Amino acid sequence: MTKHYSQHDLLRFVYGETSAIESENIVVLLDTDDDFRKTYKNLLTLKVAMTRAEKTPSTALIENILSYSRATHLHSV
Amino acid sequence: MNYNMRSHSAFSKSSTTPRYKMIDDSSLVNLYKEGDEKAFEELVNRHKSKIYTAILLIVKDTYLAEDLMQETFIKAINTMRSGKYNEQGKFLPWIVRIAHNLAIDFFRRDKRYPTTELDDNGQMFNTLGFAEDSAETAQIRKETYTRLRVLIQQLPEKQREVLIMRHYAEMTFQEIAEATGVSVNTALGRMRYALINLRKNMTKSNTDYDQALFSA
Repeated sequence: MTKHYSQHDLLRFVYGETSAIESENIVVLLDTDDDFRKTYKNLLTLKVAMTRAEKTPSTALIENILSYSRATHLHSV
Repeated sequence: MNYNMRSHSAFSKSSTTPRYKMIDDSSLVNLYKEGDEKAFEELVNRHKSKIYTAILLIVKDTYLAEDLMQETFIKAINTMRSGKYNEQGKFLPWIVRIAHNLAIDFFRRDKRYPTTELDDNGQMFNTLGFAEDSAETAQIRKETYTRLRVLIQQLPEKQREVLIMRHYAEMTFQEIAEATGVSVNTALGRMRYALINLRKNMTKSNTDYDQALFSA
């Protein structure tokens, strides 16, 4: 019997949380079901966009954090 | 000491040596606890964008986000130095949780809630690689991602919370369910609605890049 895969399963697949067997079955379904594939592409596009939308803090802030770490290390030695 | 190597896909930009880039978070924390500052530098560089973005999406203000990020790391450094860190390889979810709690404390203390939108001031820069784009395409991309961040900030709180935990803190849906006291299905449902809302709101825009982003 073919297992039905929901959009929740697809979401877990996009985030790498499905088991090997589930992943294999979902890949087969992506090849055969246009709607499923379209939903997958939309999810993946948003996932990539959210990663690309990441911002980097200022260099000064990172230097402050590293300086604090070095200073506390010196005090704790 | 023995330390675990990371998978190739997990590599990220940083100023530390290739040796440190190969080491997983858990081993870097152990090296840091033994006094290796380079290990800490790698942890900071590896995760700074995800942590900063997670904070920014909660507080919606770049200056406040920088303050809270500094506070977050001070707390994390003190915890690791005191030997109280025992997250077993889950450094990123742990530190984002610290940041989240500090942000909530701030709003509770200050009795104000974030209303301002993101701005792109001169001290900030995107992590996007624009080198291959024309200036115009690069600008459209930048505006699109800025808009995406604003739309994430405007999501209903519970949807935004799950999205930040899953995407930026890299928690599993099971971990999110446990942290928020809901079922895995509820966590998945909130994430799904968050993404549906984002897509719907992104496609309301008529810019060329938005169309390109979602027409695949």
